[in-house]
Amino acid sequence: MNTFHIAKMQVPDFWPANEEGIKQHIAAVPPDRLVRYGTSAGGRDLHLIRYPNPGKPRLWVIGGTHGHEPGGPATCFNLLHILRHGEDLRRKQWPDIVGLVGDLDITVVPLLNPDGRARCPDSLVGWSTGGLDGMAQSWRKEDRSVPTIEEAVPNGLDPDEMIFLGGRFNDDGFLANRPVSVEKTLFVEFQQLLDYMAQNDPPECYLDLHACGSNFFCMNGGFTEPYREKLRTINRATAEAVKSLGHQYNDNIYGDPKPPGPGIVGNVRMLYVRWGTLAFPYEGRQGFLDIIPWCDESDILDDYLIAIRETMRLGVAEGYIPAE
Amino acid sequence: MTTQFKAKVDIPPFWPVDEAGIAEQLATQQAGELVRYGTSIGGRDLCLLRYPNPGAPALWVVGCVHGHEAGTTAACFNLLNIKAEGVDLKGKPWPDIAELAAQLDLTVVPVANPDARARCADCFVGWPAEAIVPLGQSLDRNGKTIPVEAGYPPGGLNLDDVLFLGGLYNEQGLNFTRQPDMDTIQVTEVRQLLAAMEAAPPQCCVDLHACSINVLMMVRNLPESYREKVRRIRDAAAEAIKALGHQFTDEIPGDREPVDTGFISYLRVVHQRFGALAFVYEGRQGYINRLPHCDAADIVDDYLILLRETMRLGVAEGYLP
Repeated sequence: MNTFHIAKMQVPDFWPANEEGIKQHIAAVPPDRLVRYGTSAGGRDLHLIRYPNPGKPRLWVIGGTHGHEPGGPATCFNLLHILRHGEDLRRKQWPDIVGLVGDLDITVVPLLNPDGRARCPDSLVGWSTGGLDGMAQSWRKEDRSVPTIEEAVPNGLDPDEMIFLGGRFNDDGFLANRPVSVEKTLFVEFQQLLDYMAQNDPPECYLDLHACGSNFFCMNGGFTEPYREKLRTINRATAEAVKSLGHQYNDNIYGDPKPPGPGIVGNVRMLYVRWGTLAFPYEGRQGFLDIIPWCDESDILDDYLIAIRETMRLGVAEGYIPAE
Repeated sequence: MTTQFKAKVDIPPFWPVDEAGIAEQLATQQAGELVRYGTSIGGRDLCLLRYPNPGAPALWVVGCVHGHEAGTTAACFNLLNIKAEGVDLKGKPWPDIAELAAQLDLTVVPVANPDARARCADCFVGWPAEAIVPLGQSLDRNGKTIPVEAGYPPGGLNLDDVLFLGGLYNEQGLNFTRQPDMDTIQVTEVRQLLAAMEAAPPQCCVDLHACSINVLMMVRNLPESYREKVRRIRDAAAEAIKALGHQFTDEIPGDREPVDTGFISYLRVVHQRFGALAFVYEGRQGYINRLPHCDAADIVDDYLILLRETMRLGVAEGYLP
């Protein structure tokens, strides 16, 4: 396991994104809801939390696919707090989310890539975007260059050759979100999640929380038009609510209206191909200094929870799987 | 007085560089004479600590000319703690520094540019080097990094065009280390610093900065006899810092350049006005993509070693050739 001098950030209590905070919140989950579904390459436990509701639309919310995107795990633990107590970790009420819970079968995976999370700072609020490519993609010892994604697929990077192994990788040097094909991933954490899904009821919707500089959804390149329309519906509702707070929001869904094609094979593509899952990423913000309007952890959390709420609302209103 | 949106960093107790930590350190200095020598554009006190020793070589240590170089302030307060208690703020004893400091006329300016210090994050250990560039140079309203050249005198930056005012600048948007000429000091804080020096003229002025490497920098108007002293300090610091396994760059940038080249920093003025042995020492920031990695404690140790060797030279042979 690599160790580095990780930047130590002061984070608010409602932003549990480091190993210690995550362990505390996992320990607080009622045992009958907690599933330990595997172990990361670096030996860390992989957990999910179940709110089963047989026969209802099955929504999975995923955080921490990329370690340098701490808002995903922080949001998942706030969502779990809402599911259990009716309010987030700031004590803010989310009555709509609470009202929707009973009509969904919900699973939360707060941290898909705990190795990547452990290597990265707990918040990037106030950072500039400079050097972020390396935080994500690593820096080589040899020449401080940043490997491209293509160089890391399919065989990964050798962690011993890196100054810093980026947040997109597990401790074995494999990318979290670049399967070899729609059939195969070498990222053991996602493979174990797929195995769990296969043995249980796989998701009908898979909301993969990511983070970059702005709020937007990404289209799953494999989606047919009826699936795309569902994501557009979620996007319109999220846009309206996020913008009403004065927050930044990109109206256009990244990758839409491009037609279905080869595109990038990510985890969401695997799920769509395998089970017809309405699987898509949502990119939240990081609070970068050089991207305006500025935002803090509280703003970031609000935006994620709105995206989740609107995804829930669609599932309850019309279900996640189109009648094709 | 302004503060800006900034990253909140968890800093160790021996790294008192935020406003509260600075205020507490200044309030608790018992051994030295606290002098408020002016006020920043943002309305913050400009303070120095004096340890007068008439007839002894006069050393000035200046920290935080640039607000995003917080380690320099940390180093100053660790030095002051050694002066008072023989140990730094980590509790590490530095007997040589304690002994040498007693043989000098010492002045320490922990935060020369307090407005910029308040604007910038408190530590960059673990950050990528590239992330710091805009924090020094400023961002325009579109979030683009402003080139250093845009802030050259006269006039400085147009604050109406600035989203984030970087650590290189005072609150008027004037670059702290760029003067239009040797006689025109447009940065208010520098004018007041130079005025304070008139009261206790330095024979040596060490200006602490921080980039990604440990390196001394030559002030270009130093004649050869002065430069040789800087090189001897470099040699001693290099040996001690390398012995810890820490990074050190032997070459002194500017050393091969003639005296009439380069920009006009305030140190050039310090040498011209006071004949002082004035030079820059750049410490590290702990960037994640620079090897060997270092933490805040390593950074403080490197600064203190440089200061120790500067003191040793002053005690051994004096600062003026």
